[in-house]
Amino acid sequence: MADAGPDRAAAWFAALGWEVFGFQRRAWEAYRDGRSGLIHSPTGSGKTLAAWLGPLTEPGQGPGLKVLWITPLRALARDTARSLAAAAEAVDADWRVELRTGDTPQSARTRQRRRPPDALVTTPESLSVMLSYADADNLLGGLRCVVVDEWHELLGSKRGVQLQLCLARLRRLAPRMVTWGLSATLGNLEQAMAVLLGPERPGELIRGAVPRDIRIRALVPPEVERFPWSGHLGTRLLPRVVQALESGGTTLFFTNTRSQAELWHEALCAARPDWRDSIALHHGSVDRAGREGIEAAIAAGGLRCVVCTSSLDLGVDFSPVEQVIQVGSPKGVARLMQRAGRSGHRPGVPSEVLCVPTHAFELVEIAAARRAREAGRIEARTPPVLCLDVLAQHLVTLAVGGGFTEAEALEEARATHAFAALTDSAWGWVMDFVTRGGEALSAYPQFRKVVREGDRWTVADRNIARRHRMAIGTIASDAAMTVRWSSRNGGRLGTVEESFIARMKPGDRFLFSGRLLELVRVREMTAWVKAARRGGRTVPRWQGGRMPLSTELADTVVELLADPAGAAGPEMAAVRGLIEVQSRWSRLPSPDELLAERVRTREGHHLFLYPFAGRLVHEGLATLLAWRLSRRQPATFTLSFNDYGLELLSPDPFADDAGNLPAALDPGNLADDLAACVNVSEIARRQFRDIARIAGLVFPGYPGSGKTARQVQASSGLIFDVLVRYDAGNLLLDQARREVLEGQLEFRRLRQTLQEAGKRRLVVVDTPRLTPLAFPLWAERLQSQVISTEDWRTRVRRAAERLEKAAGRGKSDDHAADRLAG
Amino acid sequence: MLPIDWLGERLHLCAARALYWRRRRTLLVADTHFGKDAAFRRAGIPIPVSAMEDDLVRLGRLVDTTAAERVLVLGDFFHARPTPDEPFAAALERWLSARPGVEVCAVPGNHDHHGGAGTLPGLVRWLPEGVVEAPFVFRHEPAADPAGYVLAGHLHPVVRLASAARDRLRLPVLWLSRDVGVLPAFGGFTGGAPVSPAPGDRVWAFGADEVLPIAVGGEPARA
Repeated sequence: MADAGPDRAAAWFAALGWEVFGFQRRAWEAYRDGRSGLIHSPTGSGKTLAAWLGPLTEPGQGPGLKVLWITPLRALARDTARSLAAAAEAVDADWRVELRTGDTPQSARTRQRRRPPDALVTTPESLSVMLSYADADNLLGGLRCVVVDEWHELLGSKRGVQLQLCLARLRRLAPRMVTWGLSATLGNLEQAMAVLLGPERPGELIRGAVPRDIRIRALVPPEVERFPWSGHLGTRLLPRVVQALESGGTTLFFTNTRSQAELWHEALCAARPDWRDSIALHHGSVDRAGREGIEAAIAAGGLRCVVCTSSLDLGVDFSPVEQVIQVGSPKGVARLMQRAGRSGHRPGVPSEVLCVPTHAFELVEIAAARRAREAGRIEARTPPVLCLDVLAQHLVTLAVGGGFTEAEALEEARATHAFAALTDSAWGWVMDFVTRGGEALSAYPQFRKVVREGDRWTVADRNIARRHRMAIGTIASDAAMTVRWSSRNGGRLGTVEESFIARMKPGDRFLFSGRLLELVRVREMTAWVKAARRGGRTVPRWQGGRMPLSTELADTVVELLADPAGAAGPEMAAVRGLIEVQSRWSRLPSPDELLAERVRTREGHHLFLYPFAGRLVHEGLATLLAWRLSRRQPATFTLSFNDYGLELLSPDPFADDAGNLPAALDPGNLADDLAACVNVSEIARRQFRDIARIAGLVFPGYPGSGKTARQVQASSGLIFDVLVRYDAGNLLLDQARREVLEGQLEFRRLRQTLQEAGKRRLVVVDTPRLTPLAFPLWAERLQSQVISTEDWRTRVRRAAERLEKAAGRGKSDDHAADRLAG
Repeated sequence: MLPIDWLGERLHLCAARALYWRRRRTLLVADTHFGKDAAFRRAGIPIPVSAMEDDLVRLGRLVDTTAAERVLVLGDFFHARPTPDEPFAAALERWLSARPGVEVCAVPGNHDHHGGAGTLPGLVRWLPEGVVEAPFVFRHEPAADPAGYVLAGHLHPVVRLASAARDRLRLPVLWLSRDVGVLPAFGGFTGGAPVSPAPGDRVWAFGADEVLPIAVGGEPARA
């Protein structure tokens, strides 16, 4: 080993004829100098080697575990381990790289504890499990470096919070350890680094030297309707999408929801039956073995197209992927960039994403995504704070793993971003929760979980310890129901959200994993199904469909609409007709104005408002407005909302909107008014499911877990009810309400929307009929009222034709199969 | 209390999830699952003790208002095998000593077979499953019986009532079908399972302080 550190790494690059990028050298040098930091650059630009070669080429290291490499997905772990091992071999480092995930057999784990590898690739959950063994300090005490891969994926979630706590523990066990994060571009990189390292810890933010060019292109239909409605434009573009797939290489075909993925997969297979074997379907509900098979086939270059959801947003380096297609709204700039980056994994080659709009306004969103990216307007990810459920779980983990002292654990918690502001009383409550079951004053006899042994808190009961370890890995999972064949030996097809199956009756059909299935029966969290013959069907709707348009993208959409002449590009040219009608009948939205439209139809009096703040905010705002307006004048409203705005429909005329609206939009008293009109408690009861699981109030059932485990199973809803009634001061209930406000109602963004609305000029326009902006809201409401999809389509199309006629063009497109409209 | 007539017997439906059979001075309840809260606490899940205490208070109030002389539990009296430190045993003893002349009987349910049945012999009289008190047969699991009309528990029946979009109501029910009647679960810390009554069945929902007939299959139920 002649030279070491950065020079040795550079020599290896030179031997391969590779150029060392500046950011890689900076990372190696920072590591050599004992610093921590965050490296951000697009996928495929050499981030991995920037983080890995530092520790790998460090001179004078002994045996034992030196590097912990944390990846958010266990599907990624194997590939990562392989590429780390290959690099180790290439620089002649005699390093063993091993895997430690939920799939690692017990024998391998035992061997790893006895004879530790030099580097271990693992997930946040498996790290937590490692800390739950009493000999954790033997294995982890010699760590030199922990690398958190794809940190942006963890930053905004409770898994990230769990990891922050584990890192704080590791820093105590291994004081010489440095921390490095790898991240895609985010709007809040400085904060991302501070969260990873812990506040107050210095670090180096290293930007990848080669920001790859990303080309965002839209599949512009030859003719764009001026009265768009959700969903149906996509299939008209089917022939051109098929054409785009002709061009060799693998295409990743991203959709926004799993139901869209199912429908497009079906449509593509129907259009080209000869491709059936080379078009795959990949989403989070497809069985894991099936997904891994698909991932292997992509890597081998054997597939023409993979229809997928966010399930393939990150991860494995798929070199054969040459094209990325995004169907439907990009929703956010960072998300679109991430997806675009999945193609052309060669440095210097631009990545390209082809966007397929499913209605006309999405053309504007595509143009907006391009503009926002050029302007560097990238979304931030907000790291959650004070998740007491995660803290409670972590304390039990430490107690199981040999115990903790209260002073140490509190110091570690407060060293994290998530718990830096933890109050003494909240800490006291969590300690009571894990040691006595609840507040010290109320009696919880028989409760024993974490008990005192000398100055340490430990778990003495082996059953509790075992159950806790089994539950650690469950933060990420949804309440999912297994789908199995009722015949064919009960083979497993995947999982589907319980709420979807709960709405179905035996005999109902649905499309799942590319197959048409019939529900036979539901028992013990399993949906038993059989193959169904063709016929009407429902497509499972997963929660993912509710993601709102980001603020960055929405603001840019308003900018483009306000000044369409100033925006070049084929997308804006294609929607010229739509914009012309909108400005003729009403006005164009603009950053300085808040546009409202009033129109009277046979249905009644409509009030439309366009804050452009995303559908979650509009849902809350519609409810709030209806409640506030009806306090002044008793009325019944029907509500509708989308990413651009909301609609209030009333059988009676609105009294003096211009006077009442500003008062109804007042940000004052927002929290109280919202609590009065939204049933926060009922939503919180559902939100409590995750919290109860993380805090150890419910166990997932396991096969073979026996009678005792079955006797302590209760639904989180039942536990929520009992706590509300008998332990109202339980801080986990507060947390559920807070999560509902922040996550489901986007309270902060709602308040900001109202504050900004006060600064904008409110313009109320009486329009002769539904405008292009109003029409999709109308159609959306109709969809929730009309029972059959066919009726809905017929009625919406008829209405669109009438409006087209009124707008001065008689013809309307004849589109026979709008199968994607549902 | 809502009186109904069933097979020539008058039964009073009590909102606290019980059925009072006045002719036999018997209060019928099902699925008390006593000790469930303690079982959870022993497993490290903090459930407040008040849940069980509340159940006994509720049962006491029912006995006091109806002047029942007997409480008959249709199975799943215990949730799990009672342990020596089971707080319920002492609580039940206090409850009984405050009400001399009241007897607590139970038919065993599937949870009692885990070791609950036969315990607390001084406090609880265990009856054989399927005991006949014409016109009724008392069992835990609902299954038709030639010996009479079966009153049972086990299912924890609830119905969902839909109202506003984000508002849903789940209410425990008494569900009387042709051969078998299923009582709502009494225990406050028990879940519920939605049931689908057939047309012709009769169903009553137990609200906070009122019992209401529920329409089945479009036909309004007659109380």
